[in-house]
Amino acid sequence: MNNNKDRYQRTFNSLHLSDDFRDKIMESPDDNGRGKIMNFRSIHGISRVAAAVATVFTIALGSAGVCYACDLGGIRTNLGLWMNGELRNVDVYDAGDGSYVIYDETGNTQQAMGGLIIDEDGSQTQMSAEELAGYMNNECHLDNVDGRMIFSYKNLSEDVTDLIDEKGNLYIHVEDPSNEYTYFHLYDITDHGYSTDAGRNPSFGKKYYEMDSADLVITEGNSRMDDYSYSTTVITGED
Amino acid sequence: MTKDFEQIYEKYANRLYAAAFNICRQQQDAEDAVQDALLAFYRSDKTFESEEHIKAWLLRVTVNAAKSTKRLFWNRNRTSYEEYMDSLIFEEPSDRTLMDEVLALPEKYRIVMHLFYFEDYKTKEIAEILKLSENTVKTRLLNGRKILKSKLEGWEDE
Repeated sequence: MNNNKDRYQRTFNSLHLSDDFRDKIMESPDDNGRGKIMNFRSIHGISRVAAAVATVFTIALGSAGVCYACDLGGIRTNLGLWMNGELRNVDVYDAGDGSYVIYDETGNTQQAMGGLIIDEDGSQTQMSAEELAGYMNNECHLDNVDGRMIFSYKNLSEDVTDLIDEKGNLYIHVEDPSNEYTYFHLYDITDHGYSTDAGRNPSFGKKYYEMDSADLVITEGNSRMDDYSYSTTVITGED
Repeated sequence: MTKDFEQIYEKYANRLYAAAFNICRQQQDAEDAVQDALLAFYRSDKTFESEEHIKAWLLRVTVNAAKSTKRLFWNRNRTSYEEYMDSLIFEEPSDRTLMDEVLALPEKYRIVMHLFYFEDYKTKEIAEILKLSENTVKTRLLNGRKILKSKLEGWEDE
């Protein structure tokens, strides 16, 4: 081996995945997974995702970046999106860098979002605005409102501050016949965001709060990866 | 070929991370890219001809995921580059300098250099993984080497 290769390999062998990474992969993703997604289902309107892995990211912008949609060029898509328990009519602009910016009816920025689909051959494509909206509308959300953590899913909303465990986990189940994936695990909950896994079944031995009543229900299910739809990373606030 | 996920993980996860970090220059983004690649592998029904085929496929998916993660600019509240680099343990002090200089190269040179020097691939194999022409790979390798040669003590002519 030449000296350059030897030196390079020695140097880059210093890089190692973090200690808990293996667990995140090997164990059920609802227990330890963070931020990334398995999508093994066909969501209404986004059937091409069915045989792929997908990732979704959103950043809540609030009204920090006020900008009127009508002043913008670029591709605009008008969509219905559940936001804070309310179905809103929003304009989604393709920012041109793989991300989309959502403007509400008043022209205020609300969120930035992006998503990728990894196909079977390993190639990746950017999700369309419609595909992202499909994910978003079947996803739950968590907002910090005056120090209280408010969970919302479509038109449902509940203060869940006291339901989040000391490790930043929250298990919630919602009843929604229109959505196959209604067992939510929110985790890594901090002041700056959280991640979500959405599952078809409850994870083994986990305690899920029923959204309607916030009753503690101990449910048991399997936690095979195939039962998980996808997860989402949401980043809120500024650095 | 039968997929043994745990075996593949043990063998390649850290190598995929090195490739992802080479592109992202950021720990969490690099780990996210590796996670994407491993889960894509876990889920895939693709038939792999050999373990070498698996490795090349994983590297390709990791590289693509790392590029996309970086492109999306969702990098907030993350560990800083300096902070992370300071946490690494290098065998030689000059290794840190080498990593800094490699990571300062333009991205298109970095990943070609990495696949050549770390993964020990031939230029033709790199071209296949990155879906580039072999000439492009050779040019990028040459340019990357020139820069490293000008920046690093002891980087030998090849």
